Amino acid sequence: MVKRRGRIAGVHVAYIAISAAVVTAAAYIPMFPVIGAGSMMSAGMIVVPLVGILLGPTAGTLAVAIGAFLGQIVAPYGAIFGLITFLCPMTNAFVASLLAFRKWKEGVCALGLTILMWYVITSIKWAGDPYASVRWYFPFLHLASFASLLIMRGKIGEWIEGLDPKKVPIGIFLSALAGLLAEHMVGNAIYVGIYSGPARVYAFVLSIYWIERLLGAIGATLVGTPLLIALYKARVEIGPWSLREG
Amino acid sequence: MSLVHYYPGDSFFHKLDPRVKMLWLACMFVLSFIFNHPLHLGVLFISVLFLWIYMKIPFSELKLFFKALTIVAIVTFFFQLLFYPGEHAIVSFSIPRWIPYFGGVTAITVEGLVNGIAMVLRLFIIVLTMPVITMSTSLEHLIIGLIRMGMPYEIAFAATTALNLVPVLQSDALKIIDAQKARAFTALERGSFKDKIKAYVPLIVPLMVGSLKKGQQLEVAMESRAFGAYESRTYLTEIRMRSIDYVFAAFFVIITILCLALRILKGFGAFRL
Amino acid sequence: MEGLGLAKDVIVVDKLTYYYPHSEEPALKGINLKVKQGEIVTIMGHTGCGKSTLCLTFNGVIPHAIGGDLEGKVVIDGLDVMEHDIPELARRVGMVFQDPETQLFSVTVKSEVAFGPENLMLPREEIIERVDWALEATRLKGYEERAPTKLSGGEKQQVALAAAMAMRPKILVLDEPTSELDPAGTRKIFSLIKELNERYGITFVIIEHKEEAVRLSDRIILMKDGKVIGEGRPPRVFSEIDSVKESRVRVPQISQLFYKLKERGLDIGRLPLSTEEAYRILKDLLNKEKTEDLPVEASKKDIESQPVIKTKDLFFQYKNGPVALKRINLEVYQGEFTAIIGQNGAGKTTLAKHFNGLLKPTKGEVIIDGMNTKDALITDLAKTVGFVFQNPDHQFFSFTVEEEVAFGPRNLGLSEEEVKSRVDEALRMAGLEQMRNRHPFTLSRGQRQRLAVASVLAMHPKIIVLDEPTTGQDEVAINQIMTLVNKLRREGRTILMITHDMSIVTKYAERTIVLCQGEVLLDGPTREVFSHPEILEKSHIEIPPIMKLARMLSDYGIPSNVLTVEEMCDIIMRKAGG
Repeated sequence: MVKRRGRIAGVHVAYIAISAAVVTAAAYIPMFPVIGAGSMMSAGMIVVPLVGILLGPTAGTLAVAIGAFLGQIVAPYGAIFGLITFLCPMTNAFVASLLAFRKWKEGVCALGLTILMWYVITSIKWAGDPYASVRWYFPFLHLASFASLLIMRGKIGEWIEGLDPKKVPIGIFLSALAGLLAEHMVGNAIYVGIYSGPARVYAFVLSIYWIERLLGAIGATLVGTPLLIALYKARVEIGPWSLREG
Repeated sequence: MSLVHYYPGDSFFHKLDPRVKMLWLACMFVLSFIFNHPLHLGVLFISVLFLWIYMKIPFSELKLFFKALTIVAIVTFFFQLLFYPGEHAIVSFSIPRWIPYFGGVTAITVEGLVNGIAMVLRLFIIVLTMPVITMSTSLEHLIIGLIRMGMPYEIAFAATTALNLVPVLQSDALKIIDAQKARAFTALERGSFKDKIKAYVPLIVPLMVGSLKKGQQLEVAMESRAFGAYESRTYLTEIRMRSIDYVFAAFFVIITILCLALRILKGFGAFRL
Repeated sequence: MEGLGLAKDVIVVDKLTYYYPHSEEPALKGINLKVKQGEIVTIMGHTGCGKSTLCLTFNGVIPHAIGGDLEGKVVIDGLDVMEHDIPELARRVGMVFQDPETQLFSVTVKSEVAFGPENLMLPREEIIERVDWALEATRLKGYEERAPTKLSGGEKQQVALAAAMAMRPKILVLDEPTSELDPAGTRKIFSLIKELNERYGITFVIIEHKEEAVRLSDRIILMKDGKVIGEGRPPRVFSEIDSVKESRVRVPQISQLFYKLKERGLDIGRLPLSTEEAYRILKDLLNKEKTEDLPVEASKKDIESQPVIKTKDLFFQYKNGPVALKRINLEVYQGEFTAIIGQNGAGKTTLAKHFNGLLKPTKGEVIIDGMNTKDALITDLAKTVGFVFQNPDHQFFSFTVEEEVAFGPRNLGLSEEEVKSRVDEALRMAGLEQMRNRHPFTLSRGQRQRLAVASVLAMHPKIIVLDEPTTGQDEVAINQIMTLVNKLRREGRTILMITHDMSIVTKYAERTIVLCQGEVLLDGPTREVFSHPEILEKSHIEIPPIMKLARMLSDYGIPSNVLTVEEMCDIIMRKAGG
């Protein structure tokens, strides 16, 4: 028999397509306006990490990449960074999925890399800027998350896979938060690196960003817990309990 | 409701091979970062506008983009104007430190002003170049272009199928909203902040469960028509590079490299005082 | 199809037993089956009996794509399914599924139909040729550049058929192809099936619940719980009413009639299936005489009371869209059971959504229980009008059935004790008490539909609107839902039901409203409405077979407006039984 195609990392294209469509559609559902980047936050904050958690590091990241990319084409006014805007949600799904699929080392590294990227870019771009010192403590939540993940190790993935209704929410919350924070770092690194965002703005954003990211993670948890359980009961072949090494 | 607007036409640009068009897009993106100077960026911007007009894209589309971009543009401009560190002040003033966020700003500088204009131009160029492609190329041609450039067909299919499924999901989302409203669910419109966050649960859970179940059915439908049977597949749509396509491809690449070289060596396109 | 005696067996199933992955119970148990080239075979059975599972083995999706454990043999056109992969089998077996939305995913009809051949790596010229052929065969010439997503339900299924035909299969398997379609679409598909069978000799295996499929078929196969419990030519299968009842399949009305007559002592011998046959038999039993039509029952409404639903010159237009409703003037009184019928797109759901304020009139007024929907709060309307949507899965998100039912009352701000008591009550009425702690998605389709009704009942509505509550369900589930609905009606609630199933309409609804292109075509007692088949034809609505039979026998003492099998049976017994 000929080698079969049509699946990516064990996930059939159909699931990738439909998850991508959900991500694109979610871009249309606004949540609340946020100052700092000048755009509306959308239900994508909830949907993106969940798609990562459901489809895994390869297929999930791809689905979000496609969905976000299509979202750029379909609603280009939301693509504040132009063509590369989709890299942000993609990072989100990537990190969240790594943590959910027990690849915590890779997940922590990825988050760590994004924080590092921020430090490097701001140090270069803000040379000579009187407010440059804000860059050190700006990612406080990101650093806290990074540290907590080092403590948790692989437990997050276990909790999600085990489908215990008490542990699943914590697992989702931590993965989603890590994902959202990683995305945030990437987005801001782009803003500073390519769009020369000045340091002053960040003193400003410092007091808001952590609230919105936390809210996003809470939203993802509130939605994700019933969602994962429903998918398990409905026998849909998706999610770490089903996809991870059989 | 068609998501991607395609305006078929006879213009020269329409007839370019999709791969060449994508190359153009990449070059424009790179060029918009090579240049810092509002003048050069302005030229780029006008060339994009010119293309829009040449391809006879209706003004209503352009208006839509401008409307949506206005807020972002204004915010970006002001941030640059006020916060970009510079030496040459135009207007000096002093905002008392106690005013949140703006406290401490002492001047509007030339650098800030120029950078502001440049940022806005860059924003417009980047955002407006993408639609040029999607409005002048049919989806099938775009996909074939990507596949011929090496993209695995699974990804291409995921993309086209996703695009076709978005309206289906949107109508599902509306049905879900209706069903929940019929159970007196009003948290979306009224309700406290806390309620609003919880409000997404009765909406997104059914939406995602429904979508993934649709995914199951889609999988069976695709398999039933032998999807993934062989390493590759034939394609109904065909694209072929004509000599003029090669010429333009070369042209785009050469101009970009030239500008990059000039920028590095001679500071062409950079703004210096 | 005639002359099948010498045709070879194109599907041979031998002691087939199959387990889904991670499943303890087999979905198929020792199935033995043969289908000859050129036959039209219809498989019928209750939801979950294994009909779809069986069909998925014909093209190898089971076991190659889905996995699981397959014992026994399935041989398609000489090929053993276990030894050949999906692409080879897909060249011989084409499949069309129930939901038009999840089997069409291309940009144009042309590329949709080309999808299969493209996957088979056929040369481009051959693909073009096959696409043209498939479109012509399914009457879709001219549709090449249209977007599949913008077509009507019936047209979409035609495209699905064309896409399957492009594989040039010997066998076409259709899994409930008309469940989501209106009568017009259904007719189109069944006539296409007949044509393709006659023109190209394609073997058809169809899974269906509807009567029309029975008339079309050479053979019927009855399944129950993973086994085949009956098979043979339609008249024979339906004369064994017990196995039919066991399989929870809908018995065609004509068969029902003769079975009931037999029970009451009038034995004709064999049981006819078609109205023509029934006519021939009955006219010999009856005397030629003219008779009067049955009186149409006067409406039970109180002349003094106010209507619970009243629309005045209701006009509705979608934003930047077409006019959906024109000059609708209706009055519905407390306790009425009204069916709303009409083609898809005629405006039935649009009209119904005005009754609970989901849509507000563009012009004119809608008054529900004294409240004008323009000003009323969604909450107040939700307390009065319960709306059960077509797809119950579009609203579930809770961990347990209980929680799900509690959602509505909680939204109304009621106290926890009140919520609990309402939940208990609603679960009891819907027969779901045993399920209260189960997760909604572990329930069967029929049970989920009842859960949707229970969620609405907990709001204590006076009026209940049901949008196609019985689509695609088996007879037992339909009965359970309709019994529940009837119970609600007897409690004094007003019922409005949108449906395409005419036999339910004639059995339960005392009043029928026919919508056609946004206007009311007919409105009155059901018996009255169904006495105008020419007008109904405009909406492609067919009167049920019993009524057709009654009209044919109008010279033989049968009133032409008999509605149900029971009535017909009574009348015949009176005239011919004595």
